[in-house]
Amino acid sequence: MLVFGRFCRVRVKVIKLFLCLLLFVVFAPDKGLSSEKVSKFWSYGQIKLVETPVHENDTWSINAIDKFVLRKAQSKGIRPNDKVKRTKLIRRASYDLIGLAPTREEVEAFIADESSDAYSKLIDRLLASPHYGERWGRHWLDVARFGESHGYESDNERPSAWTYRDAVIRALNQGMPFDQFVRWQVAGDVIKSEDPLAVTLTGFLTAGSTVTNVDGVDREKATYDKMDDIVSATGAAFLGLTIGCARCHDHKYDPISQKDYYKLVGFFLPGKPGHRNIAAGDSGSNVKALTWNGGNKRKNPLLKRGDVEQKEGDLGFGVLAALSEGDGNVEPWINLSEKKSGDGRAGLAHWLTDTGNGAGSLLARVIVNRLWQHHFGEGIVKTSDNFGSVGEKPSHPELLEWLAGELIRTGWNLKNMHRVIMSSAVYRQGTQWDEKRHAIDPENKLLWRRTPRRMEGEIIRDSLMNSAGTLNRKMYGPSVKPWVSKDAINTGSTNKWPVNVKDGPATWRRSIYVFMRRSMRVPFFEVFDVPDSMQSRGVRELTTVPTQALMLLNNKFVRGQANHFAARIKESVDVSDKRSVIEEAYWSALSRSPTEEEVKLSSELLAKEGQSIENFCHILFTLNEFSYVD
Amino acid sequence: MNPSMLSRRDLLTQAGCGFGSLALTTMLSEQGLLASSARASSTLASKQPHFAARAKNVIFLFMYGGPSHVDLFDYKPALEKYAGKSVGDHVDTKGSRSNGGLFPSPYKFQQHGQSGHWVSDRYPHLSRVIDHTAMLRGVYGHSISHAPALFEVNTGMIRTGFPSLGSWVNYGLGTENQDLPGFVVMYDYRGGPIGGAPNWGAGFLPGAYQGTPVRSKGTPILNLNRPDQVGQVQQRELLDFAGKMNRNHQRNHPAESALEARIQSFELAYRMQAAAPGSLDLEDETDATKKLYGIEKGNPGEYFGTQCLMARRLVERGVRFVQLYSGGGHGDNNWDAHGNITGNHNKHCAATDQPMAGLIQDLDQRGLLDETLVVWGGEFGRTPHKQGGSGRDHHPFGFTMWMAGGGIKGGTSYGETDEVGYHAAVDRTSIHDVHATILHLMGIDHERLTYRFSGRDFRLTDVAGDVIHKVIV
Repeated sequence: MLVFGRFCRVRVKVIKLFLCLLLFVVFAPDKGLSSEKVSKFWSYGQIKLVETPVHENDTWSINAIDKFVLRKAQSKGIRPNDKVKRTKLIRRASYDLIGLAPTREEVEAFIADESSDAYSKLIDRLLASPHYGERWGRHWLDVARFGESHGYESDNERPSAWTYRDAVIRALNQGMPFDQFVRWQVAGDVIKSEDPLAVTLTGFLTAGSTVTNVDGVDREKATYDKMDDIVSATGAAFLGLTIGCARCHDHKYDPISQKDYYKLVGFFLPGKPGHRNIAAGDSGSNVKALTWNGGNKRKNPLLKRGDVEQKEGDLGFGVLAALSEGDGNVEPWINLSEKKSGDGRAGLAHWLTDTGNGAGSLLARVIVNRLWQHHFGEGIVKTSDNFGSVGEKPSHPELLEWLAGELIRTGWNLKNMHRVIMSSAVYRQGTQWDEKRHAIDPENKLLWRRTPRRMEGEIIRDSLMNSAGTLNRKMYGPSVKPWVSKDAINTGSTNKWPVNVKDGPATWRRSIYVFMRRSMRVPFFEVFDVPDSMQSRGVRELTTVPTQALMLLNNKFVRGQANHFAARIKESVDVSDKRSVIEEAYWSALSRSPTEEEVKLSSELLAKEGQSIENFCHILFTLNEFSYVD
Repeated sequence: MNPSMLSRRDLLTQAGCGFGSLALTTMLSEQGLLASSARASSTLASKQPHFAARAKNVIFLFMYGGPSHVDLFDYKPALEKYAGKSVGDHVDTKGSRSNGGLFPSPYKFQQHGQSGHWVSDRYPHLSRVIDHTAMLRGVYGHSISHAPALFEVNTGMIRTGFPSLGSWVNYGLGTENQDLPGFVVMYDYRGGPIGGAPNWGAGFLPGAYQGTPVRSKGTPILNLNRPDQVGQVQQRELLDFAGKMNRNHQRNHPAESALEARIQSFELAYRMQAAAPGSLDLEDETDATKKLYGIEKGNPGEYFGTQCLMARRLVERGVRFVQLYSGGGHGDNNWDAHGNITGNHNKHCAATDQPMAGLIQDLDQRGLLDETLVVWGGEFGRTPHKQGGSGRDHHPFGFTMWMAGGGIKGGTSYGETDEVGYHAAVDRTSIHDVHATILHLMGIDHERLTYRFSGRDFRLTDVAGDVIHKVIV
């Protein structure tokens, strides 16, 4: 105990120091960042050219990414893991890019492919899959706070909101440069008004929640709540900034003034959500799309303390002063734009993506960090929605600069960035763990090993159907409302979900096509941490609670899928041959052959009284390996 | 703690080797020493406290959005005297973001009970049981924003990533009922608090200690019935099979506590099928009991009363820690009364008054109040000065929390704010102090409840925290 006491005192000092630093960062004096500090603050400046480190006798690195990772790891005396086996690599890559497990044929072909470019061919194939846009579109819909109802009490549905979801999937699938993608989100209707995709992508502005059923002064407050939704989402989704904090007062920690906030409001105040008939997709038939109707510049006062009854002056519109030359005047970017719009949004769009004098450098850092996060589980900047002074600092700052620079150099090509990231040795490494390296870096900040990743609720649901062979791969179109239990719908409020839906193929679509009602998330998504889409969110919480287990063990939809899974196996193999049954089930659920021990245990299980192939298929759905990808 | 009294398992877990317990359970299971379900429950098995506990369970009533101390429990007649005068003339307002004129409470205050606690007229029911409470009127926090302030009250730290109070308690004591989660969260039907799951997360503690949210409307826990085609025996066999597969899988991933947590969550889910249906079902409660909590159609307390009654049923069944949230979503759907204090607080007080009073009374009648600690508070208070038309802003510099039951000396109070209710002035009470006191009442020395993470031994109370002995029996 004495020894422990002495140890405590030392530890206390260390923690105190840590705490002081933490408090200093969080409670830095009111002023926030001064103007000199702004230009020096790591995330605000232009992308720095960084030199790729050179290592002698480096047998590990594959590309530039690895050299940055290796330098940091070596400085702590750590060598990162070597490449993972091909069976695992293809499962990892498939889930990462398309959110679906590889088939047995795909795994076997990849293992058998002895050509030197087998892996890059695999990545190309996955990037060309239409499912790529569904997988990465879902990530984007989180940051776009996309929902298909107004939210709040009445939560009315928006029957045309799906058109934005489709536009996101299409844009990603066709490899649209990310800067264009961003410009069209805020001003596609102005920049290219004749292009259906451009107009529909502007649905970003309408994707958030809306207060309804209000009158009088509350109506005006609701208008400014809508403005806040748009300005906050624009700041968070594109720039990783918490601009919404400046609604009532200057931002406490970042160089965003209340004036900045209301100047941004000026771009959106003249407009409102509206519908437009557009030619949708390949069929060319007309659909009603939910998008944005801009207006002409109008008086735009600052609201003192965010109070609609304390209006002051007329700010017009403008961009963040800290990320522009001059005082946030957007004129230089408006002149650049294809068409001069009344509400200036085209200028905002060009400012967002301008890497010279605008916000483009920050935009690039934020998006490459998001890509990294979805490939590794955690961003180089862990707080991927907050690149401000309260956010975390990058774990590998030079790597982040290099990646952002590479994105810009290659024309904002996201698919190319996936290729670069996934080609690296650090992406391809195994999960091996050992005590020695753990002692040096318990949190794996140095990226010395791959940590297994839990799949999101949508992907788990998709995987159930994919294993069962029931997944309806139809793309695009109005959202579906799958069956949910009566207990879940009976909330005492108005009917928010149909009670008598057939649990059938029409609703067995990928989860991105499931209707996103804000006040009535599908229980499967509710327990598996799918966000409520009330605000932009780049990082999902991942909880592990028994209600998730109950869902997988007892839910009628899940059991139904297990039954279909079993039926498919019974059709494809001779059921008297237990080994074939087990093999087939393992391949479908886990993309691999069972081990001899697994065959033995599975056969024993199947032989027990009252057990069935249905039960066996069902229990495979619950395995850790089913939801966690190495 | 005398080391010789510790079992080997305690040593491994309490010494804080992240996966010590895991390694041990794996080892034991390999030797066939543990039955499958016992193996899975080891993390949450009930453990001995450091010293005799006064409270076995906690019900934390969290008023999300920030209830106004100067309108509810902290009577400040000086606000009448200085009404409309600038707050800056009276106190140092550094760190505040607004500085309107001082704003007397629109509510009438009166002293109640033997204790003479001042309570505003918003809480007629609570006033009648006020002698059970110890008022902490000098609490202060460190953030003026909701999310960090919530994190501070829930985890002791203003940033995310740290374990919540409920998960520390489960880590320290385990839970008495192995068939229900040890830490249950019920958030408001209008939405969860900002910041979400980290408010009840396990941080760096093993994932099995995190809070389990139950659904905030409709059926609290879905999917409690086995599919028709799966018998109980068969389900047990299936889970044993899955357990073996998962253990094999885990051998290659020894450092992932989430995988261990997931294994345990399935075992708990299996047991919950039998235990949970009764626990949250209010059907066998009498009308009188329901009425006590305000559970009557159209009564403003109907919703929160239901939550409170469920909470009583859970602690009755040995659930260690229950946290209820009043208020959710945005604007006036929670206690965040920026524009109009009466419009907001009239509603939320009415929704919680009878339920809280009913809970205290009911626990008392059943002899459960002695062993159940009830804690009330929000993430901060509200400014004594005006904001907007007739509202109040966030205020972390001095506010009120109260506790009742579970070893609390009813009728006492500790701490005061200054003349106008701005700064905690006398016996200033940090959130660490509040946490230290809660742990103390549960028989835990907050300085000895540590967990080793990233090379350091962490505590709920970091390097601070003083137990408030004055409010303890």
